[in-house]
Amino acid sequence: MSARLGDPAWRATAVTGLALLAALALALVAHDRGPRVAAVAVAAGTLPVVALVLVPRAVRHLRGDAGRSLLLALPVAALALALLVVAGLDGRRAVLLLAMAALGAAAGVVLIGSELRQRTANAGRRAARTPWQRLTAVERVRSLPWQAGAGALLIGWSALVGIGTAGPRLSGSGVAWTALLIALIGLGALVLVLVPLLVGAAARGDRDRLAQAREDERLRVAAHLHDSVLQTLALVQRQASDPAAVARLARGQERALRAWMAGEAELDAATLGGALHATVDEVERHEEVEIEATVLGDRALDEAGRALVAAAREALRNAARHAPGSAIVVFAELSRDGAAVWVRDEGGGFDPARIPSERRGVRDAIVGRMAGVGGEAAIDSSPGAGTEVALRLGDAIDRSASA
Amino acid sequence: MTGDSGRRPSGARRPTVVIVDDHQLFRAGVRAELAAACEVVGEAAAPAEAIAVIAAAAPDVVLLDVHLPDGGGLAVLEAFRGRADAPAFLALSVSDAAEDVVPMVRAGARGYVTKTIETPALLDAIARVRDGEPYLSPRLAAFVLQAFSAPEERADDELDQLTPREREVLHHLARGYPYKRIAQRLGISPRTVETHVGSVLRKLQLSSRHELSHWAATRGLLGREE
Repeated sequence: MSARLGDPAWRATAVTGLALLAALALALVAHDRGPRVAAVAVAAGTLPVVALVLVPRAVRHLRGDAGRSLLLALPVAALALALLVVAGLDGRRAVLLLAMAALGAAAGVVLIGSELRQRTANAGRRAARTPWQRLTAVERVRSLPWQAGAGALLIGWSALVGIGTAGPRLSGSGVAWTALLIALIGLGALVLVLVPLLVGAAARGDRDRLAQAREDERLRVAAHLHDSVLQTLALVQRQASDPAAVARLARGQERALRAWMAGEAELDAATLGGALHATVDEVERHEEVEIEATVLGDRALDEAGRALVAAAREALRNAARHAPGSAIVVFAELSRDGAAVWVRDEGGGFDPARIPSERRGVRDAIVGRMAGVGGEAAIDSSPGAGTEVALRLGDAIDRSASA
Repeated sequence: MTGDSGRRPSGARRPTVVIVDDHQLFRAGVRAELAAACEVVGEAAAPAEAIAVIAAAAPDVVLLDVHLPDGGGLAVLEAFRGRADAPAFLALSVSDAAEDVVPMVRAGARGYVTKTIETPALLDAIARVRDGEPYLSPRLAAFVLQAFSAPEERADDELDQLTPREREVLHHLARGYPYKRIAQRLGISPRTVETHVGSVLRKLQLSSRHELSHWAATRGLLGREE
């Protein structure tokens, strides 16, 4: 029993049932008549709603485990109908009207409760989407709350009929005052039931969203680890006989994991910083060298940025080929207004005035590329002092010119 | 990487080193790496043990892991802060995140290297801090540059600012230049470069810049200080 009282739908049904019974009993005691035509019209209008909406819903709920508590609605409705028939035959129109109003209100409450329950239950099952979708989207339920709307309409209609019937009798009749009191108590009971229902639904929704967010995060981490660390471990196992390859794999993975933990852009590189990291990783793998890269700031990856990345790739390959075994350091300062990237090796260096022909092509590829997007490239090298390639875009050019 | 291959530790004696790390395998690995060039005079796995071992062995250099149980490497640095017998600390960590690196240097480490460092670079770093010189990896130099680049409202305090020269030196360090080449490029002596880096480290330790304080606070450093 206590478990049932914990179920909002059961509480709603019980309270409305009690209110309905009280209203009917009161109406039976009162002596008065209303117009027969109006009663027939109201009956004709209400019964189809009860028959087409409330009864099928109750039957459907009875089949499901969750809806079993609505069993109570059936006896209540049957009793109400029986009293209605008796009262109608007896010619007490007011009783008929009040009964209709109470039935309609009960149906309305059941409809609203059912809608709330479906929505909160679905909130837990829903897959991850945008926060807005999580708030609004409903699985297998119409997006418009037509049930709740119909319920509210029914309750409103019941209230109008109830007031219309009871209102004229309020002058001096103790019974009528009692009726009003009972109606008010019924209304208060309704509020008492509906408010916890709504609050509970909201809280459950919050809990579900939080749990969903945690689950989303776990899935995201799991997916990332699967694509990165587990893949690398698999490769390491297969290449266990080649220490150089294993070291390279471990290093590449280490850098990727660090960048990811630091919240840097993931390596699909929608930003210039991400693209630079990806390029460093790629050159390290292909040329079998070690590169220490630090990127400060970030900016969107536009066409100029792509040219910069391509130029940096050339510079890195160049360093890897012509300064074998030396440390290669990449330093990048990125901002919305500009970008500066330095690629440095501690190799033998060369005299820029006497560049071997096969290196001139690479140099042109770097300088030409940067010039093509309004950028700038400078190569600083001398024999025995290593080589540094500086690539600049935007306000970084002005700063280097004024410095 | 900042290493200057032509450099030799001053004096004929090999540097004495204590290794503080909570992973026994890692300590063994480092000990093997250092065997040729250094004398490992002690090992410790936790701050309390480390403080005792260091006080007893009085090494030239302590290789100090950042992530230790019971207070981390910071606890060890705090214990020796301001003491005349304090050895040179070289912080060592798998992490190169700014919030790990910067508080260690602020607490008194003379250098910071990541555990993936190559043996020659590690030996160079040990030799440097033993000689009282700062050792900033390119990445750490970049972080420091970043911390001092952010606009600061209370810019009147000179501890919160780098001079243009210091900034230039730091920028070259971030780009991977060794001290000798920085000196050549800027037309100053290598000793002056070291002085600039030393003064950057001092500012790093004393500055009240918000970025630095924030990094320190995330590691619980300020709570013990004030």
